[in-house]
Amino acid sequence: MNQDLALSVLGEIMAWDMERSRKEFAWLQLMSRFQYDGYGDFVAGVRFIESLAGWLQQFSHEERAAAYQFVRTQLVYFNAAEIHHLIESSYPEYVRPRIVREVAEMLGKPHYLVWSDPKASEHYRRLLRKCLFFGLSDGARIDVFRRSTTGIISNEQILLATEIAQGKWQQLLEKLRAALGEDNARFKLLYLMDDFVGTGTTLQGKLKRLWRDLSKAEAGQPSIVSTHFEKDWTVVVHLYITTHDMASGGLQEKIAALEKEAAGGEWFREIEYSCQLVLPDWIKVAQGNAGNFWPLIQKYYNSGVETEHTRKGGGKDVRLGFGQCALPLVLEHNTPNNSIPLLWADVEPKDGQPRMRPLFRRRQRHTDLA
Amino acid sequence: MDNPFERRATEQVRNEEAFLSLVSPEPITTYLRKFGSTGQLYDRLVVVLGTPGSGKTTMAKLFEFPMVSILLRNSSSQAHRALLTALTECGSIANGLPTVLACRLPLESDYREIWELPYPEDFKDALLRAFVQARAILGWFRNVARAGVRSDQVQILTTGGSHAASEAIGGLSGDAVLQKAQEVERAIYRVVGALLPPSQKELGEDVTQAYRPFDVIDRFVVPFGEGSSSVEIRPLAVLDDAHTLHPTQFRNLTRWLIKRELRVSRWVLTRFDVLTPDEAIGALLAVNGDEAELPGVTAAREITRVTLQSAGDRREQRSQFRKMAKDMSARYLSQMPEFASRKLVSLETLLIDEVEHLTASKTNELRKQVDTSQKRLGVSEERRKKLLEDINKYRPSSRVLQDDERLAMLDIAMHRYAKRIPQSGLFEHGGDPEPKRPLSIDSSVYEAARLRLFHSHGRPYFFGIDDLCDASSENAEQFLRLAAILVESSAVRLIRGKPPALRASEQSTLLQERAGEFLRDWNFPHFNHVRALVDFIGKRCLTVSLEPNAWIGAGANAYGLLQEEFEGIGTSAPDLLRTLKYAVAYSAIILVPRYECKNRLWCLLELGGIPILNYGLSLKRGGFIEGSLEELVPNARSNN
Amino acid sequence: MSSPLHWDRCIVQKDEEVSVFVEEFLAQPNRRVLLIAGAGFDPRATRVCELLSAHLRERLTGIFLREERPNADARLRERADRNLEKLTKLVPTSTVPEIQIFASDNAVVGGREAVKAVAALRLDDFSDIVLDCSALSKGVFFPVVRFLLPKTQGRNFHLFAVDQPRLDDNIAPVIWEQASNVHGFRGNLNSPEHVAAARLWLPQLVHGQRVTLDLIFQMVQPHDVCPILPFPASDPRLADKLVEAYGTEMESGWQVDPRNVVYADEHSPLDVYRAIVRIHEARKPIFESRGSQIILSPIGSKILSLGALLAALEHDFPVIYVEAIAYEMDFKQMDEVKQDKGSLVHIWLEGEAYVQ
Repeated sequence: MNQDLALSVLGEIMAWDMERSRKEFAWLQLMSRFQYDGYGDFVAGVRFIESLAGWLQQFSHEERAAAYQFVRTQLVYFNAAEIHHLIESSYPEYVRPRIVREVAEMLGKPHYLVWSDPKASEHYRRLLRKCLFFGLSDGARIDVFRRSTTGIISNEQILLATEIAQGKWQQLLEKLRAALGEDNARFKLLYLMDDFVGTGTTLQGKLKRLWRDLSKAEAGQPSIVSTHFEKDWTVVVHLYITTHDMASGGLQEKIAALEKEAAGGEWFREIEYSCQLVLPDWIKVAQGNAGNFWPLIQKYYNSGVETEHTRKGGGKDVRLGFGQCALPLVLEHNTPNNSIPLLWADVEPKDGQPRMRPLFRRRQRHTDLA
Repeated sequence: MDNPFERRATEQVRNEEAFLSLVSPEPITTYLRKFGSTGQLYDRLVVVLGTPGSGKTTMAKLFEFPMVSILLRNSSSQAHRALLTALTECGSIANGLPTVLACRLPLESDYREIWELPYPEDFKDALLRAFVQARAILGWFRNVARAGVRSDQVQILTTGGSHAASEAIGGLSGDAVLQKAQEVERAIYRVVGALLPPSQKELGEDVTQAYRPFDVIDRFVVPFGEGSSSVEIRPLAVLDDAHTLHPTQFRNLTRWLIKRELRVSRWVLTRFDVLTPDEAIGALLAVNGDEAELPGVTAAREITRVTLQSAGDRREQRSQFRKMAKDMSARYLSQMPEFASRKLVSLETLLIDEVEHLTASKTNELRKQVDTSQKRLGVSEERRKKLLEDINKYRPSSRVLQDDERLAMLDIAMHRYAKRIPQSGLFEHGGDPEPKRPLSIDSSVYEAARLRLFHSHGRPYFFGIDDLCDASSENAEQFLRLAAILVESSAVRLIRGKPPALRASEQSTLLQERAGEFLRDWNFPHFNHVRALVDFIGKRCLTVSLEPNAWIGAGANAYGLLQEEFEGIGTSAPDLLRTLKYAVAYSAIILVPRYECKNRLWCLLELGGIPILNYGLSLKRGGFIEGSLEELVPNARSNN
Repeated sequence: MSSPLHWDRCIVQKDEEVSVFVEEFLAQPNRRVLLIAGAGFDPRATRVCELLSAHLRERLTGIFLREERPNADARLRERADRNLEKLTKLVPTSTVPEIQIFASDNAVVGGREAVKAVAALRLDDFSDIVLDCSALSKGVFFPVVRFLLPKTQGRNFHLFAVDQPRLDDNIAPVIWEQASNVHGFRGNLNSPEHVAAARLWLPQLVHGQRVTLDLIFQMVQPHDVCPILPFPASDPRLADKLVEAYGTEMESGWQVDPRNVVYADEHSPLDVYRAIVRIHEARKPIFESRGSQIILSPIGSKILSLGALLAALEHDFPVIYVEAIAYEMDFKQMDEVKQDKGSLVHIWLEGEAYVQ
């Protein structure tokens, strides 16, 4: 739709006077161009302003102002460039310092003097080669990570975790040994990268699945853990974006819980984690900060949003998103289900419950339905 | 929305075509024409004084060679014809050929930095002169190159000085002169940019040798037009923003540029405060074209002085500005597809000039207030009727008065009447005495009524293209920024499917809003004191303007100091003087000196358009509060 | 300098690491440390000095540059005096050169004056030179770093800063009327030979600096504008808020293409450094014939400006800014914000940390 037409519709449904229209149109044109129009689910002709007009119309006339205000002042949207930036900085800002620390230990030097040792570069290079970088989901954009580390990290170290065939594992090890000229070389650090973790529940599932794949020894074949990794190997979970709750102990708890579950049996030797962008606690949508949008969250809810998976997150419903995270977060490639469903849910009316129209529709992933 | 009114005018400079489509010839015609025809623009030093945003840079850029070439190449275009005429009238074009090769040298910090070098004063002066000349030559060659002429095609005609002199500038071929200039420029540039400057004895010959091309060069001969034809043109160096130089540098530079022996044309563009504050004000107080003094120079005939926004004929200036602004806005509107596609390129038509009257209920409210006044003042019914009769004879812009205006004017008239009869008059004699002086109902009563209706009842006050122009303080940038918000609103109306023209109420609100934003965004030295000063004057003016008998007429928007008190301000109130310097530089206040009123000479501190809009004062000139330094000084100071 | 990212592996430490570093390394008995810092009103002025003097005592010598601006607010002067008193008490062997930021005609000379003051120093006696830029303005510490860098052969050169953007927000500069290059960081900007070069301006956006940015824009007249937005930042909406605040500039004034926005971690000096250099490297081959100029305006947080400094030093980029002729401080807010300490950052520019 011609953007002007969409603006005109918006002006009408919001009943703005000319002066208000002027201010809001300026904001809408600006932010749709710089941010929201890039949302992955939008198609030609129906981008942000059109979507907004559609979304607002599910509310009554009196309710619309609060809904609009929420979008205007509380929405947290990260566009592709921002997310790519996180991914591109992950190596120099997180991975490298981590490896440097190991090298420092090896050389018996404080980390700040590592580079003073002429042997350090070589140690570093070798240790880096012994790292593997797995993307835990599409959102991890392992391709962006790969591109940003061209010439630094080999292609044979960067993979999408869900797509590793047995034969591939063999190749990885062979390439490692060839690169280092070491017949017995093994991997030391396994980086697991993911774009966003809200409650850690999904992450737990991924870790369990990974462990299953790595530890299975069948038909006489030894497990990958035993053949590919050094004795004192470590898993590092690296998250580009996470919540305050997760970063300040929640993740630790979730990881510890898995260890407890393994109950002395086989499990990863050591799991560390690093968080890049931590969403502060105060952005969570709460009665105290959502104003008149809060009652809308309560009112416009349809249990059709719930699935097996969402019920795992706890709470009697997911009005506040999976795991009651209550986030106003939208990522360009998809909206996490930890965000307020009123933002992303697309549900037909049922059993007298209202229709839910999305502003940034969430593309359901297979993990949601499992 | 990409709004060209929000773009800076200077941004267009890279694309000459775009620049030419947006520039108006009015300033050239207004300020330069009278000198151009007599050659006074080229045969001696020209000093152009203006406030920031007064358009002196834009004006100068028009003279630059690439601009002129484009104009001459496309002389059929209508937009260009006006510019060509203006330039011809200024003598830079004759018979369809350029006569002047101008290059503009912005005197940014590099030049001022020369003053900080650890060398004796005369050496630093020589460096500055060499730097200016080298850059001028580079500028001339760059400008002809932009017009497609190579350096080896350029011939230099000299003043016939010594062979040694021409050698010193590299020779007489274009290539050689250009190369020499590059060497000198590069060498000095390096010294200026060094973190720690070399000691004088460490300096190379490129820096220390005498370099005086201005003494030698008379004319350039460059190919122009068809085939092998060429044209003889005189080089013109335009030194822009000369106020950034150290005052001593400026003085010495000017002394050098004044010399009649220099054959190249030279203009110096500067802001008012290039001189010391006293002299800056002196420059303002002198009328355009006068034989006024320049510091340290006795032969003032040697300078052509052009003052933009001078204290000359202000009515004429205002009308000139209106013309230019309308012209400029048409050009900008035609760059906006939403307007151009609908052939809406006249800003005038987008700003409805019709008065919006009060609603019936508000008018009734007003009527009650007037009735109360009448009772309080003891004005009889007959007197009221008589006053109304006189009022009804008044026709603003040949239309009939409506109730709201009539009532507001009546209120004023009654109060004036009450003041003009003997004190005991009304109640004691219980009659209807004649006023001591006859009461006349003229435009001042009408304007005062308008102001009143604005402040007491919210009736729109600022609207129409003329108000917009007048609120711009004759400053192109200010005009664009004010117009921008109106144009944006008009575009929004189009989006909403409404007719684009803005009603008076919309315009008035938007203009006040924009003005408020401006004031809040102010950031320049001493802006908080300027704000305090403006606030004090603005509020006082408003109080006085809203007096019930509107004794000040249409309204006050200025604070008056006696001329002789003002002239002593340098010694009696130096802080205020400094605040004023910035207030004037940023169009917060306009000085109107030697203003005669009631047989006394005043210097008016007139509020600029932005404060006028912000405080809701009259745009009409002339109304001022009589004040004193004693009162003003403590109020012109911010406390944080 | 073979790779274009000379400082890619630069040692950067924060908070606790910095304290440990000072204790373990700088406090070694054979070290003599020269601390160059600002004796200004900024509440952050004394923090690094406190840390160093606690561990180094008489092995610490101080040069406390006192930035002088005309008609400074008495309250600011008072705070500066108190800080100076603290500093000189902590470091008895210290000198306090006065740096006039403006000449009598208000031309900006602070950078030159600062270099002159530092040029007079004897560096031979010191093993480590620490420049604490927490209370120094960019016009002063940028040229000082540039001047000292080649002179620190065989010595360690450290940059320290207290990172506290909220405090930066409360100190509003009253700006001078003209934009200019930081002394020593002119690049080729005004050189007539480079007039045709493709100019790319990378302004760091920060709230409340519309006029500053406008003055710089007018001076630079760039072909393209790539605003630098802080992301990630403590406020995840900060980048969006800045886009909103400068909406008119983004749409009309600078006509920014959304793909040209540059993001840099608010708290990492190297992140913005890398981002800038990456852009420079990408443009070089494209503009080989006419030249490409990247112009930096690091007017925002101190940490981001350090990254810009590194990029400018390495590739000789012009740095354009507007000097502050005065400062306005929200005193009440200031005392509140002082409570949250802010992060201490150490950048080890040159020296023993790197293989010679």
